Amino acid sequence: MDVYIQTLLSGLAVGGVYALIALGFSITFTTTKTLNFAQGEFISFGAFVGVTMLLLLSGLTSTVTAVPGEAASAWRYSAAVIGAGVVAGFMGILIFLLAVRPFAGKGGMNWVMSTLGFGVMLQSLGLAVWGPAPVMVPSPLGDDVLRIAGAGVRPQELLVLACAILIMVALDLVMRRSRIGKAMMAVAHSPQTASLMGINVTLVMIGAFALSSGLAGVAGVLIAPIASASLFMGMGFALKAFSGAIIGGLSNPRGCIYGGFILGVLESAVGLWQAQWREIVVFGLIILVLAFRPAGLFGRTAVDKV
Amino acid sequence: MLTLKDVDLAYGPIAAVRKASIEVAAGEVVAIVGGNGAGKSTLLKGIAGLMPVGSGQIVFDGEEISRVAPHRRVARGIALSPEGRQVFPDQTVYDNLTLGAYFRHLPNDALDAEVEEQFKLFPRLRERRDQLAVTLSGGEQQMLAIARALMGKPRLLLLDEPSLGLAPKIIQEIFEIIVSLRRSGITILLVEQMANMALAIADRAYVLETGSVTLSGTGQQLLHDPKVRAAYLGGSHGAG
Repeated sequence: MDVYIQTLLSGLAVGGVYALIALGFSITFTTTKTLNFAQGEFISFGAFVGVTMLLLLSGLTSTVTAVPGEAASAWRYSAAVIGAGVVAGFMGILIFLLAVRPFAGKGGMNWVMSTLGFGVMLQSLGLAVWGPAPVMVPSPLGDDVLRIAGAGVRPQELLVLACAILIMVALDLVMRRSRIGKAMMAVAHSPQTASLMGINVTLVMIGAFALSSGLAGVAGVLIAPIASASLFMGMGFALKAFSGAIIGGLSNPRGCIYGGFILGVLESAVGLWQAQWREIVVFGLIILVLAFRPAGLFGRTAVDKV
Repeated sequence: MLTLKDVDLAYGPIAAVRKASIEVAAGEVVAIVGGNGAGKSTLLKGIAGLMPVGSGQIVFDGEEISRVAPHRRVARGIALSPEGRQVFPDQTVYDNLTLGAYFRHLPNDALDAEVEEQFKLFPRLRERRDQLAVTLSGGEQQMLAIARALMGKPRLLLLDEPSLGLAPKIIQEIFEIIVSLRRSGITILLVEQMANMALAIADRAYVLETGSVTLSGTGQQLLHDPKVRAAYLGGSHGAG
């Protein structure tokens, strides 16, 4: 029994990270009909921005293979999460202006290549600055395993889950209740009609890329204490998150969140059974889902009254 | 108020409007009639900024606006109720209306007061206030599209085919609203395939044929012009 709770909780924690990134995919897809294929590098980049901030704020040099535990105090870690989000968000604005906007809405898939290329450049830049070695990052809550109903849980997993849920609930409220959220929905439905409302569509799209990339940066710092920060860690997370988004339905932000969680739990559950079969089973299931529900589990098919 | 001088509009290499010159004075209702594919909607899109102007000039209130972004044209007082309504289907009637005033950054109570004004003009929308726009009938969606455009407090209202796909009784209702809007002092540029109805309420009108203005005159002149009657009115119930 304990082992199942443990599996469920760590699945939900990783799923929360997938969900954050999947939500990011959905945000740019709905507003600009493009995806940031450098999202993986934004995760890695975010993690290292976080690492650098933890070290600088504790007055340490930035050439270490493990961040000492005392550097990750609650406030420093919070600052690192926010800082990584802001820096990644800023990079998101750059990628939109340099690699997406010249090609968006023009047909063709040039933005796929240009965002992938931006990601490669970002990774090379990261390697030049931080080197290829992974860095161990301590959790601000320490590494003592907690006992919940007999199951052993790492505190960072609970923190990741709590942060992910908090961020997503807040964003969901903003999207559904605030004027800017409704303007984003309008842009998602039709940029042309949105511009007739006096909405600055380009600005909304810039905001969407900043938000989406910011989420990736935050996800990087959240997951670093579990996966350890590496410039190569992002790709795997982004691929899983993308799969989660596809399962949930790329055009439905809530669906993407559910898809991320489903993928995380599924992966964790299969891993319990046979770790080496994990990827095969997970991606096999994704293909199966898409065969029967091409728009994803929660994807909406457009209904318009003529 | 609005002057188009030799305006060219094109979809890529395909010219849709050629050398169109049109004048709309403050307080007028001006109609543009013409058949399917004559370039009527394209012309309105050009004025609203949804299509780049190839050559020529669009002057609004004495200022050249041909290169001004669409969202800034709305802020200057030009609102378009687009062809096919284009309401936001996944948002409520109330939210659609508030989006029409998005750029005005009104406080909530002022916004509600303006929504209330629209409900007075379109009582049916009040009953549907919290329904998603997708659940409305075609006529209600048309009313919503017009009300949403009015929420921007435009001085020039562009109406693109407000009768499209609607039952005669609803069309009558919508035209009555257009007439009452004109009485409230708003300037209207109306594009219609229902030439007889449009000409009947228009001060002046232009006939557009394959992208060019071929005739212009007062609404009554065109309504009784033999060529217009033969081409667009075709008896008592004219349709394009």
